[in-house]
Amino acid sequence: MSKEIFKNKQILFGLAVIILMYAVAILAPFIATHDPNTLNLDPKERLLPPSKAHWLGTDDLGRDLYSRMVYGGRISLSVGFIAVLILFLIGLVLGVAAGYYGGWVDTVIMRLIEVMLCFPSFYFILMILAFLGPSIFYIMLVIGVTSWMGLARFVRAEFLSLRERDFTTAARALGASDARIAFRHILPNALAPVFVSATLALGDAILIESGLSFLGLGVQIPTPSWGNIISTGRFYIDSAWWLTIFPGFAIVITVLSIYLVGEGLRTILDPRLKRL
Amino acid sequence: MISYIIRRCLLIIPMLIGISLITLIMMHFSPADPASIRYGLNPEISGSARAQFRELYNLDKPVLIQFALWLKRVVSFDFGNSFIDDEPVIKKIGARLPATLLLGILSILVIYLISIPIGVTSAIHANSRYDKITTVLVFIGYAMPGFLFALLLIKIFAFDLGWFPISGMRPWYVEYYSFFDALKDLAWRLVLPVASTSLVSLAGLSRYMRSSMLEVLRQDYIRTARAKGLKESRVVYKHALGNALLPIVTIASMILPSLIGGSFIIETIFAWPGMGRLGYEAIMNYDYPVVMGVGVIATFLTLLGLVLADIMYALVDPRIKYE
Amino acid sequence: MKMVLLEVKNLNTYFFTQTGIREAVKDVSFSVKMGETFGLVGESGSGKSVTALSILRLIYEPGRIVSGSILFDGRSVLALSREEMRGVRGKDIAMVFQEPLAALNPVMTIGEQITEQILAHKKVSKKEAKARAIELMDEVRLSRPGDIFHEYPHRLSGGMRQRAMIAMALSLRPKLLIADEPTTALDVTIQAEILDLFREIKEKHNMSILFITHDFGIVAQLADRVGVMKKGTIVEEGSVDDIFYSPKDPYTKELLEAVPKIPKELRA
Repeated sequence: MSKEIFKNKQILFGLAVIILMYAVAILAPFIATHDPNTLNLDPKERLLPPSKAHWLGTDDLGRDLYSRMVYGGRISLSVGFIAVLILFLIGLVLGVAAGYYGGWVDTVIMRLIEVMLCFPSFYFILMILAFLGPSIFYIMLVIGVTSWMGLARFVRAEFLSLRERDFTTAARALGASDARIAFRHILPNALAPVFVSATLALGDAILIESGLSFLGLGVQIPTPSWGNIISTGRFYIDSAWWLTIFPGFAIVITVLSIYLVGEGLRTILDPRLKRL
Repeated sequence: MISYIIRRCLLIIPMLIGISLITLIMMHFSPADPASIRYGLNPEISGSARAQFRELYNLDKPVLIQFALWLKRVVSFDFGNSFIDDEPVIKKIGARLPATLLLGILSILVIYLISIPIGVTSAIHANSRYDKITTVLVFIGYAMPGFLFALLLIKIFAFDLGWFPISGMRPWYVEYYSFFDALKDLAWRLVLPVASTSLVSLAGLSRYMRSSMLEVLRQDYIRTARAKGLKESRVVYKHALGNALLPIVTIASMILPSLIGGSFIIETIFAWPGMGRLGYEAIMNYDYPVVMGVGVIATFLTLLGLVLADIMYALVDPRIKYE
Repeated sequence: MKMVLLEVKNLNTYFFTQTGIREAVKDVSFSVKMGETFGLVGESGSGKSVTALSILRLIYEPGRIVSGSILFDGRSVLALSREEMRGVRGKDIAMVFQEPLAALNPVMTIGEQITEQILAHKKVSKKEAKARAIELMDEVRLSRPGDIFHEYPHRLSGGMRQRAMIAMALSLRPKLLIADEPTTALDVTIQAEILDLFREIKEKHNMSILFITHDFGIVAQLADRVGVMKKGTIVEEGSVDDIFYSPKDPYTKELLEAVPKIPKELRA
């Protein structure tokens, strides 16, 4: 199966881009050409189009766009990553509990999921961030806490089906404890499709973060984030198009690659789509 | 069936509790004092006026009491008055909701009109060049944030080409227009916002349509239909599509609430006087009654959407019978 | 000497998958005469169903009929245009499938599924088609055909669904009826009823039947001639008596041995 994964062009392309993006983010201090926060209010240096001195141009405060984007990538990508970690943990634990124990545990968790799905989550994220203050930590937390439901449902479904399979009965017959069965036996089999779900959630998390930053309730200026760069660039959209296009492109290509990898993995792993 | 609907509607209780709880907690942790918001730092408003204000809104009572009082009023959709301009929240929401609904409903129509044919044709010609190209386009649509698409549309079609206006729903001069001219003006102004709103869901739905169709095409009854010598068009459009559309049709009512929930970005960009923007501005201004009001209405609409989706599914699929 | 209705010669149908080429049907030849019931027997995976689907050219990617000839009523099936083939399906050659719940469209009524087949091949009015459908449902012993006409498949029992499928197959009086394990998914008592129905059809209409099954007992009851398939090829062919009483191929003998027999002492 891993052979298939690595032969799939879609996945390889996606992975390549993602790795590139994260590499850029991690190496930001080394590959940025300028300090992302140095203002340069000299009108001659503001709103410059891409040039040799400033690879991607400058913004309205004379800051180098390329460097801001590189550091912004750091923020956007890490926020996404941690948010997914949070939602993965919540979703996994609740999904496993619901799927494995069934009964009232399942019912309670399912109701909780249903209720939470009814909330207009973006609105709530906005509300919570506005009232509590949009620190990066809160952003990650809030995204994670409002997005776990899909993953939980998925995990639960996998568990429900795997629970009845023979190898589970065999393990139980050999006297394995509940937790052990859940984690050592069932989980590895359920993990692959769940991982796909988490991958797609990463894409969503990055999109949410960019939306929040765009609205001013995400990463706060002057810390750069692809979303908030676009939001300041918005007012110069006719004169300084690069302020919108480049960060926008970065978001799209990153999320696109994530989805390509996720979709590609899903197609490979889905037994029903098995090509004969 | 009826009992099922009632059970679903019961979900509204935990939801109301949830929203109210969250908002109230926020209010207490937030640094802004509602009385200050209302009266600003205006020194002329005496301490007693503020005290009266507090009493009016029960801000001095313990959280739980506030909560219970709030719930009592919410049930009758009385959200109190806006902290900013003292207008009844319900009135404010009522004035803005139609604009949002207009955007939302039109967007759904557009989404379905485009997604279904794309999904169906992609499935029929699966793995062809057409399929691969549409898949890539669809993925790009998925990956693009709504606000980015809106900005790009504005740049290309409003600034550069000047085809559409940049923002606004009703310019002041519309009062002087005849009915048809006003309608035309509205339609023209709707193009870009609707396009922006539709984009994201378009991608998802056409993908879903495609996979639903593929799933159905693999079924035995499709083989039977062909074995009976039916025309291929009948096999695909009556037998396959008839089954593949079932889940698609029912999620329509679930897409609408999510469009409403996410509408405030688009509404902000296009200065569209909708409920979403109202909520956003209220959040920024710490106008709690409005914030809660919008939250409750939005959640309520979502729940309505879910119930409608279930009902539609039961109506449309002869196999479903809710006892 | 009865005329040959269906002649399959050196049929090869392969599946070209990611993991290799699966030769589902390898160099298969047999023939079915007019009015004769030919039993195609074999274990699951032996290629019986693929053979049947090949005859109707219902093989889709990644499968393909690679070579061979299929002559039906003197015409080459493989040489027909798509439109001509469509005309043959359901009208000259009809097929009944194994699992009727999966083989019937769940969101269309039984009546609609029967009439649409009639309307696809004959220019009659909807009323006439409905009348004919009711006639057919009667013929296959579906009680209260008027009611069942408006029912959905999931509301019927397994036996009723299979009868409905048979009614569909018979609707245009096909010359050849292919039945792919029609009783396998049914309870034993219902199986017996459906087999009776097949026997009736055979006698009443003098129809040729290609009956596919893994059950030798059924073959014994219905077939005139038998073909035994193993791993995609026909290992033995002959009349029912020949196969049962003097099997030549070791595999045939194995299969016959596997049929549970009630010891002489316990037989009534």
